[in-house]
Amino acid sequence: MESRVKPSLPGEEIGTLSLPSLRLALKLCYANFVAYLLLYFTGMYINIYITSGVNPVGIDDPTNMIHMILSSVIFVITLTVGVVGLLYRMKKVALFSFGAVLCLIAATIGGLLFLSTGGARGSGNLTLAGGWIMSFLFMLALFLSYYATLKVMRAIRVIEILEGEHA
Amino acid sequence: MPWQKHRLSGVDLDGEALQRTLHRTFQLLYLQFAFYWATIAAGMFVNYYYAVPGSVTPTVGSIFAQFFAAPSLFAHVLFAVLSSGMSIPIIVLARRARLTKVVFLHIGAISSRLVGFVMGPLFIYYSTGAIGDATSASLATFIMACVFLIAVILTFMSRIFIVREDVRIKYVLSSGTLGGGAIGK
Repeated sequence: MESRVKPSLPGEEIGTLSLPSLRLALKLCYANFVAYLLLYFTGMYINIYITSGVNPVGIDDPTNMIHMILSSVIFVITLTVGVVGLLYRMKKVALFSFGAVLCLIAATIGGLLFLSTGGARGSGNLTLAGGWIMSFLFMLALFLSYYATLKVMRAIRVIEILEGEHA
Repeated sequence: MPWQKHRLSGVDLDGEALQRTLHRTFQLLYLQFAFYWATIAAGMFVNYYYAVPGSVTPTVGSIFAQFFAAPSLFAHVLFAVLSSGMSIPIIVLARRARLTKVVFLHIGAISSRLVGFVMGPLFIYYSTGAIGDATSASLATFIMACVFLIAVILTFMSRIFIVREDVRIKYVLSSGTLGGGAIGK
């Protein structure tokens, strides 16, 4: 699993993971983005078409179920990428991913607050605060995951070029 | 060395100048992402806390005046303009660095944001007391949210190409000095 290129390259953080494993990690990151995309669309659908009026959204609502499953998938993938970064000496990948995990946890608490306090726009200030926290922390998690993805991608490019030269 | 030069519109950039240009592009992208995040944070504030007042009429003047009426709406529009506007200096720098894909991706991002700039006022238009079309107002909001995400994705993709170019310059163009001139992206 060890990469042939040293992780201590100046100005770079390529870690100790092998090139095929890094490529796998990148594919995982891309899959995460697809899940983020679907999470955004389901979230916007709930936001605009269900809770925009006086209608509440329940935890058992089909769209809400999909939204929560997607959120769990994102959580698992982001945590996996973070652990990979930690174990294979990619500090920034770990840092960005764990930052995203923290955002996702706080956003989930916001979402649960939204559901438990009424689940509609007219349910009161606590519901609105929950919804707002959920929304902006989701976006922050997306950005942090993206930066982690970029670090993985950069490491792949550097190793590809250097290994090409060494070959 | 001739292979270290980039030529575009009569401008020659050596490896070092190219790295400086990319470094500036990275900084602008950081700023653009910050504005994107601020746009959604303010946008969600509008979404949850702002309701179109009954006094608003379905006219351009009245709708435009609304942008300055509520602080959250003003912040949302301001950050939306700023985040979209950041694509212009990025396009200029990307042209200088001959990153055609980055130029097209940012033109795409600006174009999709322009659709959002039409949908936003349309949302207010359909929400006014005189029109009161909730279905069209919801559709306008949904389109606005979707094109925002498209713009974010296009901007994300542009950074991938810039990182690739940065690595190429660092390790291929200046192959004699491996690891030198790092900008550490």
